[in-house]
This record gives sequence, C-alpha cells and structure tokens, in this order.
Amino acid sequence: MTSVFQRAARPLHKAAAQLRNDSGCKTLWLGALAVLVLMSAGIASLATISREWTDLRAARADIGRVRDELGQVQQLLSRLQVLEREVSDGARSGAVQAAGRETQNLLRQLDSQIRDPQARDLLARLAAITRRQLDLLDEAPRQPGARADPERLEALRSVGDALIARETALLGAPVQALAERSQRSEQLVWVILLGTMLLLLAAVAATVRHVRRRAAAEKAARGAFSLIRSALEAVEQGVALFDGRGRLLLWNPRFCELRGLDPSQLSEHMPVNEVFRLGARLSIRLYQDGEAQTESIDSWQLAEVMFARQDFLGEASRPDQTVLQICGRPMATGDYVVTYADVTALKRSESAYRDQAARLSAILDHAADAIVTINESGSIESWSKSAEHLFGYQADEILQRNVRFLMSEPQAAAHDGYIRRYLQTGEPRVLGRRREIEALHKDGRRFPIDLAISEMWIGPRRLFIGMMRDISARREIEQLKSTFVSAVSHELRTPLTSISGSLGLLAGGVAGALPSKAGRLIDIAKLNCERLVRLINDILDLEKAESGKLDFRLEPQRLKPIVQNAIDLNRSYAHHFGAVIELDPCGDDADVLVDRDRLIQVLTNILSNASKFSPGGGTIHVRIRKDGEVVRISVRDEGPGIPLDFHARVFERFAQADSSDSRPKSGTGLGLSICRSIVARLGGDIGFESPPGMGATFHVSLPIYAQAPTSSKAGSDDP
Amino acid sequence: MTRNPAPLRTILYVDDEPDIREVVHMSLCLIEQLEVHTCDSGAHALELLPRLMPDLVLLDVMMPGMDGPTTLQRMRDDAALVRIPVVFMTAKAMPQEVERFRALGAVAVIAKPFDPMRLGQQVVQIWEAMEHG
Repeated sequence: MTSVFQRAARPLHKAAAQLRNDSGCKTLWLGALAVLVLMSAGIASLATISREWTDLRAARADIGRVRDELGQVQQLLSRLQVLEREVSDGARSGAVQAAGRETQNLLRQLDSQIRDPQARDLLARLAAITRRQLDLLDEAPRQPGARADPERLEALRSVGDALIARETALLGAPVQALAERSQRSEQLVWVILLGTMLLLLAAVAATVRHVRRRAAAEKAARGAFSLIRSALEAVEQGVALFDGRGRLLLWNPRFCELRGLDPSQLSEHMPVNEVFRLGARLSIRLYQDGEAQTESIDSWQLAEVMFARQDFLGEASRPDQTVLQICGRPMATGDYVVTYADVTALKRSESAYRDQAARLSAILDHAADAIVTINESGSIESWSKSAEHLFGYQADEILQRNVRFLMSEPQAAAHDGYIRRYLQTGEPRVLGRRREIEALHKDGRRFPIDLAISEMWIGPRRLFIGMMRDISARREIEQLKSTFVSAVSHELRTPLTSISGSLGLLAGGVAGALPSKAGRLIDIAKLNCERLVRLINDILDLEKAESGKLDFRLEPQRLKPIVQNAIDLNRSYAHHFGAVIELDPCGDDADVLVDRDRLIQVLTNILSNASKFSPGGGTIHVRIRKDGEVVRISVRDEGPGIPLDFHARVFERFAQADSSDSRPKSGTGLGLSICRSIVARLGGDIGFESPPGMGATFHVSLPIYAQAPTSSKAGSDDP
Repeated sequence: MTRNPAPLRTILYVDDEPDIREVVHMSLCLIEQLEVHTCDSGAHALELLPRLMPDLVLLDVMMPGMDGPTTLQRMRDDAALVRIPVVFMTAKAMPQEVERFRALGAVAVIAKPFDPMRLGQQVVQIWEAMEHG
C-alpha cells in the first residue's frame, strides 16, 4: 500500500521540486538585481541631472547679467547721443549737466559690474571720451554755439560700437554653452529613460515567466494530489496519512470502512488519538521477527509507535472478528502512513490450511512407507516420521541436504545426473516404476529399499516424491525361498535320477524280459517320473523368472529362423498327437531383440500345448505378422478351445483346464506362467483368443528392434 | 574335425550318489568292450586317475567337498591328466550353465535325469565327435 501511495505521490514531489528549483530562484534574483541596478542608475542620473541644472542656472545667470550690462551699455550710448545732440543743439547748460551726471553715474555703475578686461578697457576709453565731452560742455555755456567735435563723436561711436560688440561677444559664449549643455542633458535623460524602460521590461518579463512557471507547477501539484486521492479511493487497503505532529492529512473511504469510522466524523488535521478514539476498538498484536506477539496493545500505544517514527506491522482484531493487517511506516517527508488490509478470509483459509497440513502430515507420519520430497536440485524438502525411522536421520538433520546422503555408491554419484537428464530430456527412467536400490543408513549400514518416485508440481515448482520401504526382510525371505527351492529341487532330482534311471533300465529289458502287466506298470512309473522331473524343472524356472534371476542374453536377430527352429523341435512331439505344424509362408519377418533360447522355450510351450489339444490329423497354424511397432507370432490349433470359465486363469500357476480330461496331457500347469514371465522380460505380450468351438489361438507380441534404439526396452538393469 | 580312430575303452564315472553310480554303471555297461570305473568323490577320482588313465571322465557337478568344476580344474593343473577329456553330468542344464562348463574345459554336458538306455550311446557319440590331434 505504501508503495502505491509513494507512486501516486511522485508527481507531487516533482511539482514541489519544480517550485523549489533553481531557475525560479534565478528569475527572482535577476529581478531583484534589475531593481537594484535601476535604483542606482536612477540615483546616478538624478545627481547628473541636478548638476546639469545647476550649470544651466549659472549659464542663465551669466546671460542675464551680460544682457543687463548690454542694456546699460546701450542705455549709456543712447544717453551719450542724447547728450551729444543737446550739446549740439545748444540746449540749456543745466540740462546738459544733468545728462552729463546721469551718464557718469551709468559709467560708474557699469564699471562696477563689468569684469571682462577688454570691455573694461573700452569702457574706460568711453569714460575718457565722455569726461572730455563733459569738460567741453562745461566750457560751452561760455562759448555758445560751440559745436560738438565731429572726431570726438566718431570716437565715441566707434568705442561705443566696440563695447557693444564686445558685450555681444561676451553674451554669445554663455548662450552657446547653455545650448550645448541643454542638448547633452537631453540626450543623457533619454539614454537613462531608455535603459530604465528596458530594465523594467526585462524585470516584468522575468516576473511573468516565473509566475507562469509557478502556476504550472502548482497545477501539476494539484493534479498529482488529485491523482493520489483517486488512487487512494480505488485501493483495497485503508490508508491514512498523518503529518509529523500526528494530525490527519489524507485518508480514503476504505480506511473509514475498515476502521469503523463515519467519514463525516473525520476532518483534516484531526489528531491521531482522536481518530483512533472515534474508530472501532482494536486489539492489536504487532509482529516481531515474522511472528505475532502474544501480548496485544491498544490504539493509543500504536500512536506512540508512530510518534517514535518507527515501522510497525501487526494484526488487529475488531470486535466483530474481522482481522486486519496493519502496517505503519514513516515517510521521508516527515509524514507517517498507516495502512489497513482485511485479512479475515486469508486468516481463515490459513487456519484451514494449517489444519489440513497437520492432518496430512499425521497421515504421512503414520504411513508405513517413508515419504520424502526433493526439489529439482535434489535437496530434501520434506521428511516423514517413517523416514526418520528408516534412515536414522531426524528431519532437522537432513532437510535441505542433498538426497545423495541417503544412497550408497554408485547411485549417489549418479543421482544428480539422473535428475539433470530427466529435466533436460523429459524422458523418465525412474518415474512411475518401483525399483530396488541400496540405501545408506545414518550409521553407515547399507540396506535394500523399494523406491517409487513420482512427480508433483506446486505452482511453478516441480518436486519429486519418493516412497521407500525397507525390503531387507523381504529380501531375506526371497533368498530363503530361492535357496529352499533350489535345495529341494536338487534333493528331489537326485533320487529321481536314480528312479528314472532304474525304471529306464528295467523298461529297456536290461534286467531281463518283464511280464506284460509289470512292463505296463514300469511304463506308468517311468512316465510319471519324467513328469515329476519336468515339474521340478518348471518350478525352478518359474522361481528364477519371477525373482529376475533368469539370465537373458539379448541379441538383435531375425524372428523367422527362431520360429522355424521351434517348429522343427516340436514337429515330432506334435506328430505323436497326430498333429501337423505349418508356418504360414505368406507371413512377415522382423528383427527382434531377444534371447533365442528363451523365446524357443516360450514357443515350445505354446506349440506343445497346441499339439496336446489338437484332434487327430489336425493342423497347427503358425503365422508371423507385423503390426506397427510390434511383431506378432500366432499359434492356432483346431482343438476344442479353452472353456470360457477358464479364460481368466490360463496364465496362473498350476492351472489346468480340465483335470478330469481323459487324455493324459502330462503338463505341469506352470508352462504358460513361465512363458508370461519370459515374454514380459523380452518387453512383449502374451495372450490368446478362443471363440467357442473354434480352437485356441495364442499369440506372442514382441517389439520390433529398430537400428538405433532410444532406450533398451527389456532386460536392462540401468535405471 | 577328425573322427576318433581309437574306440572308447575305459571310462571313469564320479558321483557321490551310490544309487546313481550304480544305474550309470549298468547303463554304460550296455556298451560292449567298455571298461567302466566309478568313484564317489573328486578327491578320490584324482587319486585313481594317474593309475587308471581312462579315455574319458564323466563328472557329476554337484558333489560335497570337491565339486565337478574344481576336480576338472585340478586335472587341468596336472600335466599327466591334462589331456583326459571330461564330460559333465548335471541337473543344472540351463544353456548358460552349459556354456560355463564348456568354458571350464568340459567337452560336453549330459543332463540329469538321463535316458539310461541311451546313455552309453550318447557317451560314445561324444567320444567319436571329439577333436583329436
């Protein structure tokens, strides 16, 4: 659950990171820097502008002053001209004197104002001329009609013009400076204004960009958050997220349901203890090392675990018997997630499974056979009580160890190879077959066991189940029986040899001619003696065939010559019963992997049976026919057939159809039983058909020998 | 294979069973001119053989003490007796066993119980069929 939560929270984290990330910060810093630059630029430009203004004001003052000077000069000149005219016109001397004084006042005034040396020089000359003029005027009243001197007038005009020119020139310089200054100030103001505008624009753009990014990140965060919410609503677990102070941040409907809460009771930032108090009362048992602790705790104790920022995993029972699995985990963000899952059904099936497992293991433990399972690598996964008895190992000593420990060489060394080969080829060599192998007891003793292995799949895992039983006792009994049978047969045969020899000599007339009745009795004794010998031979054969001690020399060879040989060997015997044996010339032929003598033994048995049951002049039909992968030899007689009620017992030991049959058949009743054992060892089948009144047909089917056999079908002891 | 030019003259039969010895003796005596000796054990046979030097020895396989194959082995180890042919008589007449006896050096194996009227002939046939050189 936590992982689901974390997965859902990933976009949220991403958005948060985006909000925090460097580029946003950079934008802010740039803005601040821009404002700072703007401010300092503003201050600098303000200083410049004020300095410019001071300069301009000074220039303007200069211009005003010079203009005043110029005005006064012009006024002076016009005064001088007025004076000149009044003098020339012979005005009253009082008026002239007044004009003269006024003129001198003006000159003095000007003299205090004008600083320019050239202008002062001119002014001085002008004053000199004026003074002279005034001197003349002082004399004039006494000399009426005295005319103004034209030269002096000229001098006065030229000096006056020069003074005006000088003043005008003086006025030109500040005006020029003023014009330049104003132009420069204007340019500077424009540059500053433009720069300020540009910086402002950049700051605005950066801010807009930053704001947009922030908005996008916030949107992503909101999206991620709603994703988490909807994910939480869909999950099967109940989930609640608390902040570092244990206040409820987020929860889903399933949480309310499992915790027995009404959703309307919950609100954001509700303290954890309050949430737990409102919910159903839980009896909680925390897990420790995978085991539920016996002591149960309360919800508030759980809250303490949360405040300690520790993980927890446990089981909680509600009063209504619902079992919850609860899990708490602190998050890197400082929050704490608690999840609840309903495990009632799981617990119930677990306990049912435990009961069943206990029952099964009780059965396994009480089974007579040792039952052991191994996995594909050969290591032991289960070990029943009987296995403990059989091998001497306790389960904890042997579990997870390789099954080789239980085998003696050479099986132990070969065992891994067996499993590997089976896993690779899928060709079972031991599966489904019982076989007898030698096992190794813990104390080093070797003992024979009967082993059956089967395969079992548990999900994707393949296991092998071995069922074993100690067959030492059986082996001993078999050995005893075998010894007994061979001892008995030898002991029986020795006297029989003497008896049959003696009877043979008697019947042969070695002891002289016998009376006819005595001869007949000797014959009967001799025939039964021979029968007894056959019986003993058959018992020995059967015992060997069934204990697997019959030696087989398997060689691939043609079948037809063997059948022909068997027919030849039995021809005279059949003739004795008035029967003829015929091999179907149209039959097939095939290669078979057989022991020639054993196969002849089987065929002889069948042919002699057919002979015995053939009516006088009857024919025994022998036929070889291929049928798919097998070849079948059929022997059909024209006799009375096999009674229906005897069909089931034909191959049983000492079974003979009709003991009251008047014809002496002199069989032992073991022949077909031996035949069946031999044919089975050759990998074939023996059977018969006998429709009422149609004679009997016995057939032997053998696998056709292929040139490159994949595996030997019979007689091989290789597991 | 050459037919044996000399007729079979002397034969020693070894068997621990006195009754069978007697029956075999009577059976073999049906062949004229055949000198039949019997004894009851392999050890006894090895004592008699240097003196008797029979043409052929008939050995029972299963005997207490020294059995037939061991007796045969002793004869093969004795330079004087190495050339005397041996025929086994046994109840164990399985093909594999017959082969084993032949491998031990027996020229033939006669199954027990035997046909007493044909035993002599059988032995003579074996004698005549033997390779001599």
